[in-house]
Amino acid sequence: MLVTALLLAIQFGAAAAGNDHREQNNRRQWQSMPPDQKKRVIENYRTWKSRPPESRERIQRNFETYRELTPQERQKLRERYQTYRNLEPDSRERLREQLHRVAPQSVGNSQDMTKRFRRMQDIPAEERMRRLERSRFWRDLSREERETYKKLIFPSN
Amino acid sequence: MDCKEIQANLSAYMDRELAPAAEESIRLHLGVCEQCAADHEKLLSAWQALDAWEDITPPDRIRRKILETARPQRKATSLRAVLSVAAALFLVFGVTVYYIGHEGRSMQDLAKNQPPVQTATVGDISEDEIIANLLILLEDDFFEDLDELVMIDDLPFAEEPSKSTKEPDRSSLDLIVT
Repeated sequence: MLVTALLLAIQFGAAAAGNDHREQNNRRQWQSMPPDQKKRVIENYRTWKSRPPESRERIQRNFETYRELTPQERQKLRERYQTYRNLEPDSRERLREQLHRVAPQSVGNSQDMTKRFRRMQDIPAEERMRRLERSRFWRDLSREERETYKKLIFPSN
Repeated sequence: MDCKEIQANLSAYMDRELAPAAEESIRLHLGVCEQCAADHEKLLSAWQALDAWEDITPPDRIRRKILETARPQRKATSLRAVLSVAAALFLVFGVTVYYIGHEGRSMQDLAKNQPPVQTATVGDISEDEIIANLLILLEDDFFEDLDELVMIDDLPFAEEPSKSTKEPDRSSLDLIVT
């Protein structure tokens, strides 16, 4: 019991110290930010505040999930994001809808999301591509769509 | 000192454990108070009688029995002492770990000679809230899209080749990469 209490105390202490450290870094970053960047952050803040609470919670969860990833995993997602953001807005919206319809999802569970993402990184790219090409989903895509998905799944290829 | 206090300190007075002033005060009192002087006499006689007794060494059997009776109590006392020390260490350690962050931060602040923290709430903007969520606000879009970015990895495993004859109800995406 004593050991458990000790471990809890350590965990609590470390978490508290971590949060303090994070907030302190944020504060320094905010105070040294150029005015135009501050302006953009304030705009983002207003947009963020106008979101429904569940949407804000989802973003917060995604942020926490991202923080748990390794630098390599983060890099992969960053690369993918560049391709994703370069899509036309309406195409991106349709892609988003299709993803939510097709891909098994547990958006509400960020732990599941992280686990799934990590598991996928262990599977060789060739194998994943082979599986994708065998799917009915793939057969229904146009050539352009296939190229887009290829770029999203394997950004460095 | 009144008689009550004298009586309470009589034993200490006889053992010469009192401060010189208190000892002198009792000595003077005993000179004028018959009752206290009588009590003093009684105590003196009793102690003299005790001094007359010789020390007796108890037989081994009795000594062992007494020691055996005392041993478990000593063990319990030791366990209590160990637990007390452990609890104290635990508290000290927990508090230390908790304050390491604060201390480290304070040291950094001192080193960087930062001005005092000032936050403000102007209209609908809370600076504290911005600071707490700064990393999210800097990349709001990225974190909003993170679900989809992760889901893309599920696509190769989303749908195995189906033998069903039912056609999928899916519109063409017509995606354009700019």
